[in-house]
Amino acid sequence: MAKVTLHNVWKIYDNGVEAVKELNLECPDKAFLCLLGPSGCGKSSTMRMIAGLEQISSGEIFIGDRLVNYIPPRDRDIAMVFENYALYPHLTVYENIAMPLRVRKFDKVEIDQRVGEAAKILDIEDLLPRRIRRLSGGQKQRVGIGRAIVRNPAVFIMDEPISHLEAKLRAQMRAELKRLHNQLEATTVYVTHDQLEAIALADYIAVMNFGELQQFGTPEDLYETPANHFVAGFLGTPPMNFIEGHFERSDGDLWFKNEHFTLSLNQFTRVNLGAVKPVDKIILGVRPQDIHLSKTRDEKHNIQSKTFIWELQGEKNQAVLEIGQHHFIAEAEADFISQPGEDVWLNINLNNIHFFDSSSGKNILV
Amino acid sequence: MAEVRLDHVTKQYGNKKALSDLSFRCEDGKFFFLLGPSGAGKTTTLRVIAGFEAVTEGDIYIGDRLINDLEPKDRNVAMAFEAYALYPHWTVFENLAFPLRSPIRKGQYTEEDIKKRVTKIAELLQIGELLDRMPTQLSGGQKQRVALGRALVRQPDVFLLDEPIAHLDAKLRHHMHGELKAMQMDFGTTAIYTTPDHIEALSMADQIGVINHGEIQQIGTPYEVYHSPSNRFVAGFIGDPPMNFFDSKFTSVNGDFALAFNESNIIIGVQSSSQLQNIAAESVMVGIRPTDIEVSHTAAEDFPFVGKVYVTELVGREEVMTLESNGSRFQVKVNAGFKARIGQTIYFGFNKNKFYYFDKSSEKSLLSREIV
Repeated sequence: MAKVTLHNVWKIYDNGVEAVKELNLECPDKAFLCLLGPSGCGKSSTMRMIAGLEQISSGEIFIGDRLVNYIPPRDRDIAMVFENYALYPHLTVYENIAMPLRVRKFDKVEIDQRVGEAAKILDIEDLLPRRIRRLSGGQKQRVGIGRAIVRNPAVFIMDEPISHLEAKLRAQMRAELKRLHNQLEATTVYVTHDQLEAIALADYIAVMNFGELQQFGTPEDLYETPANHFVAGFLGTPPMNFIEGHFERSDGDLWFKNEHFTLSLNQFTRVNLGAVKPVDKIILGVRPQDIHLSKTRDEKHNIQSKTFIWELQGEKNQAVLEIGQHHFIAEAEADFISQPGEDVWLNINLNNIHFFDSSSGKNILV
Repeated sequence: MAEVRLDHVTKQYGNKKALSDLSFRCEDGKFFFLLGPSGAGKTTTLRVIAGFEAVTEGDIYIGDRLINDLEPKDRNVAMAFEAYALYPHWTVFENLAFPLRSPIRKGQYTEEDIKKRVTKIAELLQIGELLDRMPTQLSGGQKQRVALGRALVRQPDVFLLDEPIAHLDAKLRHHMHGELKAMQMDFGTTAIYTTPDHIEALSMADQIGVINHGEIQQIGTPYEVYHSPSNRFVAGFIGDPPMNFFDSKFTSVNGDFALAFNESNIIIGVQSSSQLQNIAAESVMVGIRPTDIEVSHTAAEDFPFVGKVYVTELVGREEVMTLESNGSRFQVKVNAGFKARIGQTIYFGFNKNKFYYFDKSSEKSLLSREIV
């Protein structure tokens, strides 16, 4: 087991593309780190550099205290699990799991013992004599994980290992992975584009975009205190609502204003907004759960909108509301139902709102 | 515009029944969803309506017209597939105009008609600025809209959508729910839409037909299929995380209805007891949604049962916790602040008014829950 440290790491491809820019990151020992971002954000290049499948253009990568820049992949004490399992279809499950040990010339007794342990952990003991081609997708992925576990590596590297599975199986494997990590306590670097997966699995998430680290933190940190507009919009389903406006102050009163509504911030106590560096244009960010709806205007429900679409989601309803040209998504209780075109009044919970600098995208409250 | 009616439709391939005695009605101008897992018969249903497949038995009507023996082109039905199949060497405009220029409609539309219709559809779908682009220059969502536009441009009586947004990424898919619903309402065209995603169906449908193994399981509004599922399949298929089920027996404790659970009893409140009077069966399958199990870190009267945390997964501000108790697993939705760790002991109780009861052999619902 070991921590993984990236220090000023760059990846610049021969064609000049800067895939990873000055990345500084530390995955603590035994932690589950998700590298999260849209396609092309640099998460895969980062993972490939840690694994040694890609040259590091500049900077340093450490596994434990060991600088691994010049150490070939097989000597980095890592094990990888891929989306396509890369199993040998003509061999049995046992032989596939045993393969990394055979390559490293372990003796028969040790191999037998380790394969047995891995199979037990993954609940695939019954499958050991079977051939790969007779297995389901979920079973194959377990074998892939078994082949990684059996080596007892310092770090597991997983590249979207469950993203291609159908929804139900994916949910099941996600739970299994989380339990497995809890049991093995092995440092894990996990690459995914799926924010739900990252939030459900990770101890820490590193959100990347355009090759740059946007934010590093626990899932709660990222969800409740996003560092910028990108992170705020990337995490959460349905996504955070955004609308542009500006601050207005007079006689000690403070408002967020735009052409559609005025939001009094006198009750806003989280941060002293008076001390915030003044910027011209501000983006207000509100999660759908932080909007309360009413069919009549009152002191609290004083932002006007029109129902665009009303959607049932099960225990809760979801409204797509029109505020001017903007669409706002709000979560509503199951007994609150509204028809398209109807007026609905919003109350925004100030405790969880965010303000972003319109030009830099930075969260001005952080 | 027209209603679509399937009357005891069966489709057989050799010995295999793909559709079995299927009956449903999609009212004029409504959005009807066929919801079910892959292999349930959703696509086959659309194909028999479109006329790509012949029915083995039964009748299909569009409006008052029996269409069993009509050619696909004479049914005035348009079908959009998940794979957009755009012509890569043609512009968006040409792709949209294609159905109007097709040889079977020769002479039906003038070039001016075509231009008018394509422009109108493109504006509705917000792809008006993309008309000169080639398909390779479009994003996935834009291609999808072009494909939809191509199906809509003819103004068919019935619009068939076969998992049209299944392959889009989660965010765009979510955005398209609202767009598609608004579009369907704008057009007022009768539409039948297939999906394996219950959220998609709940959020967009006027009516949902839940289908499994080629058989309709239930037809109802989103509210009805969620709150009053007709059988165990529907109850388990709609909802995320899915409903929990456990086997139990009805007993009596001091004259009150009770359910056997974990070598103890759950006493059911008086209110639901009256509804339960009519249930003759002793053994039942009980269902409870993850939001209707309450949990605590400490033992108390309201939390009479004990379990161990199998796994927890954060979902925004909530957490889905899987509990293991007496060999069964239950999924519970709690606030993220609850903070449970794998292996920890947790006490839990049920919201007794929210139990669902199913017959153990037929799996049919034993309660007709009142719909608000």
